[in-house]
Amino acid sequence: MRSALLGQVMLLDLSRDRLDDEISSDLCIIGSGAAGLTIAAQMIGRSTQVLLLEAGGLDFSPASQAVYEGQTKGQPAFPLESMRLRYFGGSTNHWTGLCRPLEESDFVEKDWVPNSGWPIRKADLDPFVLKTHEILDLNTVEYSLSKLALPGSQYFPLAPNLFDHHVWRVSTPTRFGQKYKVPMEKAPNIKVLLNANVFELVLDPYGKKIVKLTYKDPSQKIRTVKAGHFVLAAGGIENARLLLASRSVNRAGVGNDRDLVGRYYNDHPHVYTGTMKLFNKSDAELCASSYASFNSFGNEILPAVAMSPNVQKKEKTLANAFSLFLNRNLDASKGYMALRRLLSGKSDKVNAHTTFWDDLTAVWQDLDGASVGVYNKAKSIVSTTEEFKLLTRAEQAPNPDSRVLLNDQLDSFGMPRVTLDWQLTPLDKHTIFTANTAFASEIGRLGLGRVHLPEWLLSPGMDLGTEFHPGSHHMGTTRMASSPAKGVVDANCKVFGLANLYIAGSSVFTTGGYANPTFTIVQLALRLSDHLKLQLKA
Amino acid sequence: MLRRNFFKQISIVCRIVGASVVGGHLFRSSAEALTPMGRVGRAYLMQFPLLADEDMTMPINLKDKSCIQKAIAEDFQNGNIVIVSGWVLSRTECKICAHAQRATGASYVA
Repeated sequence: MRSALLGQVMLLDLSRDRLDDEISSDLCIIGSGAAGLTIAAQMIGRSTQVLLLEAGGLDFSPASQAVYEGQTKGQPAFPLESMRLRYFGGSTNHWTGLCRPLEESDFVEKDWVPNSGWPIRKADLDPFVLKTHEILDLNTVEYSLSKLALPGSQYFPLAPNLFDHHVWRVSTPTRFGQKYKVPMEKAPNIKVLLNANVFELVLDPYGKKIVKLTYKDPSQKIRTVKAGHFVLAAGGIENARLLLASRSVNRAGVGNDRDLVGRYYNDHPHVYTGTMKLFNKSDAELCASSYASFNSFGNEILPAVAMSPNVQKKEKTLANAFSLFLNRNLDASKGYMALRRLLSGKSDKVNAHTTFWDDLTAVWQDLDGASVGVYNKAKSIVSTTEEFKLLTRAEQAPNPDSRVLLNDQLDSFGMPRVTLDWQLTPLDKHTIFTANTAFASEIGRLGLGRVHLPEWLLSPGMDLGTEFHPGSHHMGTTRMASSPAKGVVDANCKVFGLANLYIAGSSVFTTGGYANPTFTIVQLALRLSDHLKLQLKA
Repeated sequence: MLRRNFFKQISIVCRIVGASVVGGHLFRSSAEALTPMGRVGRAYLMQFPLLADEDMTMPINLKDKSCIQKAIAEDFQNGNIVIVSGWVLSRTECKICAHAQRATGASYVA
């Protein structure tokens, strides 16, 4: 066991290192994901003493991950313990890397979207775009498809007042834990505590500030941190969980006087919504290659078709975007994929992690999948047309009934587990339906082809079919608002009514647009860092 | 004779009416030997039986391909669309398909 006195070793693992029962710091950050590590990194070399608490260790551990288990109801979500990761670097250890800033229109209040409208504007985050690109290892700030497209690419000439071509820039993806481990170890003013399981933010008797937090090490020993300022950056679900579970002073929890913590949970519904059949096979081939991801300026670029803000306003929808995939490329059954490797001689242990005999066995075990794949491939060769699948990614309407709640089960540290009750509204389905019919009409107007929509999309009710899944983007549970009646944090990410508690991460998103959240999480974390620097200096 | 001329026109129209392409995907299990356009036409007539009669007037010249293309494009632009068996189609092309189906003499009442 290392004898680690705080101040000598900068990265302490409480499963083996000794530490005083009570420690103090100027700034305490809870969580080492994209938000927490971004803020900590901005503090390197400053006079501020920073303590960064991570509930997991340096690597994945099943025991730590099990703390994330919980219940889900409402719309089908993935298990809570598989949607996020509980170790140094947080969920950036498995994110896909899709980056894009939110649009100007995503921040403004829309009269057809109740509870919409951030208290800040895109211009408030724009100064952090360049730095965000550096952090996320993105090479340029260009987001115009026409400037990024490879020579010879061909995109649908969609009416610009209806649809825009957008792109995601794809990060490597940046693994924050790997990127910042050494800088954190070397930073003289930053201490990282691993396996520090925070279970309460303790309010002063008046409920005006956080006086300390309590956490447990892996041996269940209770320890304390006192700090001038606290930043909660544990993720969209855990942020709400910790606030709700911190109820020794106020039974409603911390920052929850208005019963808003945990409400307005939203994600990005992802759903295969239709099949587009193009009349001209050669055009289709060209479009298939153009709409597939490609490399430009050293980053992967993924094109998308996004509904313009004008149409959102006219049709009273939320933001949304399509990705187009050649249908035959989606045939990914185990048997068919194995057969393809066998036929192309690509069964190899190093690159495909499979051998000739593995693949032969897989084909035998999944003859159905292999034969359907062969049939579809043959059909596409003889067909004079080509089919695309449309993947719709949509914004979710702010809904107070969509929420994270504590349930009556406890995790291994005695902390209440959560129930995620993910609820969509008719506006969400209206958005998906309208986006698809508008896109289908535009493809028809251009004489390019026709679009087929699935039965569930045409039926009333909230059925979203079987090819529906969340983006695992946990947003809105401590939403930013202009007043405590409407949200949990103010425009500076400070919890309303509390002098020294800030929240970082996608839980502060008022609304989520359609873009993946990590880019905006980092922008907001940089902005909060600047604010904290001023506060700490004062 | 009249009916043969109509089918001749339709065979030309078929290439520019997108519905004829998607018609191949409708009612695959049907024992009836309908053309793809006929399938769309039948589905349209079954979906809108009460509207069908008054809706069958064709204000465009079926011999004029550009006129048909223009009418279809305008339908899509103006939101004059019909969803037939899941396919998002223009009203004009559905009516053309319905003409093709009714010319066979089949009833549109299921």
